[in-house]
Amino acid sequence: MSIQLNKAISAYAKTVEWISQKFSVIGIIMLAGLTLLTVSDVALRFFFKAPIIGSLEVTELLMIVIVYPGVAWVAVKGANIKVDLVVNRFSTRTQGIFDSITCFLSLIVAALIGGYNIYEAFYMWDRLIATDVLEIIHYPFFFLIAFAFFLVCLVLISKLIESVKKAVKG
Amino acid sequence: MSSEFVGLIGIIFLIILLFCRMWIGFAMALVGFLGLFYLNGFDKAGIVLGTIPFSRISFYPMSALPLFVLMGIVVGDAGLSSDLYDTAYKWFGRMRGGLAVATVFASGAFAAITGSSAASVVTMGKVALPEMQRYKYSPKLATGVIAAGGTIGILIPPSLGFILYAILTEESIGRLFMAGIIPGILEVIFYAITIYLLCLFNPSMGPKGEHFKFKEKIVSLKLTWPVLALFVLVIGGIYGGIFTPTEAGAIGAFGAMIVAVAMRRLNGRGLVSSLTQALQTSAMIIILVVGAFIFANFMAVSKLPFLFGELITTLTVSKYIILAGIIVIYIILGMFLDIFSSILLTIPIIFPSVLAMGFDPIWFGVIMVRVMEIGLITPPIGMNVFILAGVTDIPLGTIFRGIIPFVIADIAHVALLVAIPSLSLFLPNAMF
Repeated sequence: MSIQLNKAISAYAKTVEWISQKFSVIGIIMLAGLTLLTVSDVALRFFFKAPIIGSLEVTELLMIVIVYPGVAWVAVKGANIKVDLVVNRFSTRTQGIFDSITCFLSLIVAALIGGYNIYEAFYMWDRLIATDVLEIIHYPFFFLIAFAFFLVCLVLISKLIESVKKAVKG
Repeated sequence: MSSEFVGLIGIIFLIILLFCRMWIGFAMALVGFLGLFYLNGFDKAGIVLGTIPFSRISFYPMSALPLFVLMGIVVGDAGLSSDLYDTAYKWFGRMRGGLAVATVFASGAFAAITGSSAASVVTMGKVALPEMQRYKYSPKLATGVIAAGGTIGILIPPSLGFILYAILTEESIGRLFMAGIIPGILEVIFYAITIYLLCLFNPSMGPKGEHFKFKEKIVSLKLTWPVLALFVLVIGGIYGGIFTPTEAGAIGAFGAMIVAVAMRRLNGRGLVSSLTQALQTSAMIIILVVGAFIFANFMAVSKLPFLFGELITTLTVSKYIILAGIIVIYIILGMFLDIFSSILLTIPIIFPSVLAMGFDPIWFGVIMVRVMEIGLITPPIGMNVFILAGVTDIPLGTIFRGIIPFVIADIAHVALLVAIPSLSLFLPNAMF
């Protein structure tokens, strides 16, 4: 039973890691796109006095599509910034207890942000709020943010299980 | 319970969470949410959580962040810092302590295009340290100069620290970039003088290196053209009004790619790797930014920072004594936190007080970023020292002892910048 449970936990962690990595590819492609868009805009404006119409709006919205797909992947990698100074001095078991608590609190935060972005997405959808020039609707971007944070929740559940195991077994 | 007191409890709770090893961005978001929930109710607190991740990130100046990160990573991966060191080595290596001076100049020039402290330390640790060891340089001087040299990157533009400061305080990124140039150059000079003095009193610390003919020195300058070209492109473009500082990030990143491809140091796989690293770094910082804005919202509602501001203006002591107190706080913070977290954590609390005291926000930005650099090399954390210890086999204690003269130089440098604000403000005032 215990072996099966461990296998299930490991499979879950690998699946979440795989989804997070694939999701981050969107951000990588869009970052290349943002670079090209801005360079083209500057070049067209400088050489032909013809900037790309609505480039500012597209740039702003691209930021959402660039950074949020990377958020879960950063969580998988454990690259989020934290202060190790105090907890590092404790035993493995105590560290597990601290990590379990902070992981659980982070899980709540990520779930709340994801949930409220779903709420905002529907609000934007109802009113069809869009950008001024190109009239790009906003709500899909809120759904994307929500998905990104729910994915972080899945990563955090995996980390929470790890931390609890560390707290129990030492 | 007054709102200000709630704000104070929030700060204490945040500190506790940070010491419990909670991710900083999530800790700020949690405290911000709980504080807003208490003061404004659940619905309004929820709206903040639902709107800030979109409204604050889909903000035009924010796009400078991933683009400058990308530029720095491409430049770092292309190995341009090794070229800079080779050139500086040929020009200064013959002097006593010359290899250390070369390291400082190479770090400064590398910083001018990457803004990455860690990248500079790692590269110089691999490139400059073996050379200094070959010429029997004191390990303290060799490692101290590499760790200290790495801090220059945050002050010389383009600087991610300035971008974050500008976004949070609604100051001009361009003005801040310009404000960092003279202090950054002065920092290089201060370090060079420190090395000169150390070798003057103890010549065995930095023996003379190899001699190069004048022709070889001139030829070596060709290695510096990519860095020079990128710096002129980015800073010249901003200064000349050809593009905005935000657009400069894309121009710089694209220019770095072209240079790296032209030098056959970047292929398709390398480009994907650079983009991946840039995305991860940006996403990591964005979580901090989102948390900081939620926390800043709570601070604004609690009115605590404004109370601090009012209290400070009623104090009878000189505002420079208060500034000295703020500087000490930032040095301490810099010992425990990275620069991004320090800026994002403290700006919502301290910035209103700075304005209330009548300090120039651009000048304060320079001082703040400069002071936090010191934290990168001071114990008990000193991020650069740990990084250097990680890429070399030199004990931490040796590096920390080697750092001391450079920390003294840092303090003198900060004192100069405080005493003469025009060192920071001359270029931005001349430009805009």
